[in-house]
Amino acid sequence: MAETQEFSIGQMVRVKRLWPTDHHRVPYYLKGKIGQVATCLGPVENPELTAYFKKSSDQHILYRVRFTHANLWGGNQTDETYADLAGKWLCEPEG
Amino acid sequence: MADHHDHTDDHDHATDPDLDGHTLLEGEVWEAALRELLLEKGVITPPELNDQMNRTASQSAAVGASIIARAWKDQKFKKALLANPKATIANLGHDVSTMPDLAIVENRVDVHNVVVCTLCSCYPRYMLGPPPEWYRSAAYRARVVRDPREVLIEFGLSISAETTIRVYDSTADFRYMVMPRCPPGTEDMPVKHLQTIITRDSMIGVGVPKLP
Repeated sequence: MAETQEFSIGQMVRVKRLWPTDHHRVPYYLKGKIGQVATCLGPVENPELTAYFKKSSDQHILYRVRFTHANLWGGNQTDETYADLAGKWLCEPEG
Repeated sequence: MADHHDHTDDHDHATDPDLDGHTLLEGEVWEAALRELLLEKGVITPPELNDQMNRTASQSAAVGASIIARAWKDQKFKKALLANPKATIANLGHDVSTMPDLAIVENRVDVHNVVVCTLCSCYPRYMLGPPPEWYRSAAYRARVVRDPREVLIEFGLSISAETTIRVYDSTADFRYMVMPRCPPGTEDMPVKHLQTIITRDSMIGVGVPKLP
């Protein structure tokens, strides 16, 4: 079943602090960090299943999320990193 | 044991370099075993294998450079390319059927883009060929998201403090490629010449095109 878009463009989100040992596409340096949804990239297959040749029945919404380096690393740097993350890995910033 | 290399008559030697005194690495043994099994079981055919090897060998940064050069010269094409890279590239006659999703990010006066894959080594191979060794190194992957300015300086590229550096971490199935800015003084240059200054590094974002 297709997940519907749950985050809107411009919305602040936090990357969930989860540490599964199986394949997932969230780098450690972004876990727990707050970013802003830049673009919605639409539904994709779930790599956490397809990596094990399991049929992905659920489709995930992929978001391009912008993280300022001030947020990631502290200081007042203006540089930023964009990463493409599935909605299931994102939550409200206070969550 | 007689060494057949001792004699001097000029017959043809085996052309496979693996058989020519080279001890196979473990990975090469696995590759050969897997390849032979796939062929024997008919999962792939020899012509398919050949086609893929030719396709891989013909991939190079020249493909990306020709497309960027065209975009520099043709605003309408550039707009379409940025909005819908794969379809626009397909319209040029490229076979993009096996190409992953692609995003092309445009450098501006106030934004310089650089591409990495911190999780592994995702790279727009169709456009740029095989990735350079450093792109796959843990050092580049870890450091370019932590301190892109310093890393770019090590590549010989100093980005002005007024310019934001945007790092694109290819964490999902999108591949990223940079559209560098066209250097001044190239107005009269034909696409054929322009594409020679668009280096692989400038499309990864660790360099910029320079006039010779």
